[in-house]
Amino acid sequence: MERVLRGVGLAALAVMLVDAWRGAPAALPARTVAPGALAGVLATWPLGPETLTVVTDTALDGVTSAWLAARRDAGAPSRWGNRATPASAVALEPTLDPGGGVRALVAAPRGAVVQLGDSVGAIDSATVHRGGVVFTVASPVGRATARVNGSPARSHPPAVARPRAVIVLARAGWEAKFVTAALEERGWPVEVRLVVRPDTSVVQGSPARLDTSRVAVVVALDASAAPQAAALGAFVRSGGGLVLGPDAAMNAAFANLRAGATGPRQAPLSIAVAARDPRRALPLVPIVTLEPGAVALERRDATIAVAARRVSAGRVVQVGYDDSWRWRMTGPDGAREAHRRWWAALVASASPERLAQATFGGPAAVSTADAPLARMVADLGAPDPTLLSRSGGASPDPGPLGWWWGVLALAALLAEWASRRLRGVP
Amino acid sequence: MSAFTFCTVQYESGDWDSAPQVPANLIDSVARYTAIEVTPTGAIVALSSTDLLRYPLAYLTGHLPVRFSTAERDMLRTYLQRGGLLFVDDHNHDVDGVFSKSALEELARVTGAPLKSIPKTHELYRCFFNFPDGPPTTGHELNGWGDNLVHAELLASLRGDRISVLFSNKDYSSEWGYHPDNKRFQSVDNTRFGVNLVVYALTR
Repeated sequence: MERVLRGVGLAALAVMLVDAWRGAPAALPARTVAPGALAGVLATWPLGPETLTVVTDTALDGVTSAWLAARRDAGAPSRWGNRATPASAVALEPTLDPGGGVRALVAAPRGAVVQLGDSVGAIDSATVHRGGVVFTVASPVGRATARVNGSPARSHPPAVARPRAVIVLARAGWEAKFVTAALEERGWPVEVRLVVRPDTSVVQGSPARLDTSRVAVVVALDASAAPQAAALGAFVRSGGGLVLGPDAAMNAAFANLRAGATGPRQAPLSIAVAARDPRRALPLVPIVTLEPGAVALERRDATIAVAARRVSAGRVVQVGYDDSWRWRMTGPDGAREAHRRWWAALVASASPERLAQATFGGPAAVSTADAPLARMVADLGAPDPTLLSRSGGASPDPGPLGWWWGVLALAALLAEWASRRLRGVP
Repeated sequence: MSAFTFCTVQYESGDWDSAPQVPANLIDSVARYTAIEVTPTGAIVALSSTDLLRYPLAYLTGHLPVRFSTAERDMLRTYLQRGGLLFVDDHNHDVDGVFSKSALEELARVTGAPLKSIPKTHELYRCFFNFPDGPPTTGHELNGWGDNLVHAELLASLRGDRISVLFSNKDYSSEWGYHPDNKRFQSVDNTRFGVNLVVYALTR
């Protein structure tokens, strides 16, 4: 029995040796080339019966992928593997801000370092924590490139935005004046109706025409907009945006639209406007209880200062801060720009996404995401996983049968050794 | 919402306080004609003080030569850049007088260019009351000094399309500075143009 077991083990090892000797491929020519030179090498590589194996440590550009796809389509066997290109993608979309700018949305593995640049140079970098990172870029020049661990994904910026109007409804006063100024300076076309006395208003544009086809957002700062509450409700439900100032939110006419109930007005927490936290110097009408589905967008300490909710197809943003013009006028250097940005962001956040898509010229305006690894898979098919751990050449994989020969040899020799030990033979 | 507060500018040279009745009369007119919430008393703020930034409309007048200090120029420049509107009225109502000449020079130094006349069709003349002939004449222009010297237009410095500095040779300071015991110079209340100025500042 022991002789049989030994024979089986040795026979299995012999079979594996023969297989290894027979399966070893002939030494194939192998070259290491720079990524940019690979297309040139492929152009002169013979269309022989031998399988062409390409192992890359960076994303292939479109020309190189096209060469490999052409060889495959011409019947020349080939396979490819990739060792270093992370699964990443970059897409650019316009910000909802006529002041310009795009958002670069980069998908990348957790922990990857993303470097964003454009045709001029580097713009910013960030480390990915949750599957991606978003950059806001004021005015990228040419094509934007996101390098994820050195591997580039590129995308062209979207078309220039053409925002629709913002309507400001308020009593004549400094807050209305400077909110309007901030939005106009940011590039929004603003129409206003500022009530000077009950029968007289200063009007700019056509603020009575509440139509989502031409108006993106209405800013109702105070109770002077209450007579239009019903019309504003219809405007929001049909897809418009509404920003409610504190005095408007306190008015019962807007109870069905506001993001939350208001509490007693709070005094400013600081006298001077500070650059770090300027809104502490503003009076606040806190939002004490949120409506179902509403979310807090900004808090001052534990108090909700800005909140938003969806109302049918539209969106309402409720602002608790009052007299924000004091921030712009009395704040430190840069206060005017900061006040402008903050109000532009509020208006943009009230503008529903689908309106923004239409505003900015339709789906074609949003560039298609560039995903290098996904594009290579689409062009070349799935990579060969056996190439992942090696730099190229033939596969060492013995195949499933080879593994069984090994198991058989090991089992037979162990059994023979155990039998001998049980008998007391060394 | 904070109420509107009328602000008079105090400057180091000249006689900044030559028309002390103007604020009270204009405050009264704004309250009388509009629903704008207005502070019952005005404020007096030094031109060099950062407190000026709390009052986006400010009134400056005088008879005497005006020379701003460096601090006053810097603060006025900041004030205008942030959206403030300065109304300057020559209390002399003359042509090329000392206040007019020196104040216009100083304002040009601050704004970077000489002030220019604004058309009679400007929004300032129709934003509340309608003044189809442009700035209303004052009693002093017509016969107060017996010279019938009428200044047809106001001067202004614009930031974008809005007025940041408005300059008048019409002596509204005398016209609006009447004492309550006296009757006004004209049968039609001439402070109505002052109301237009406040409405314009609050809405543009």
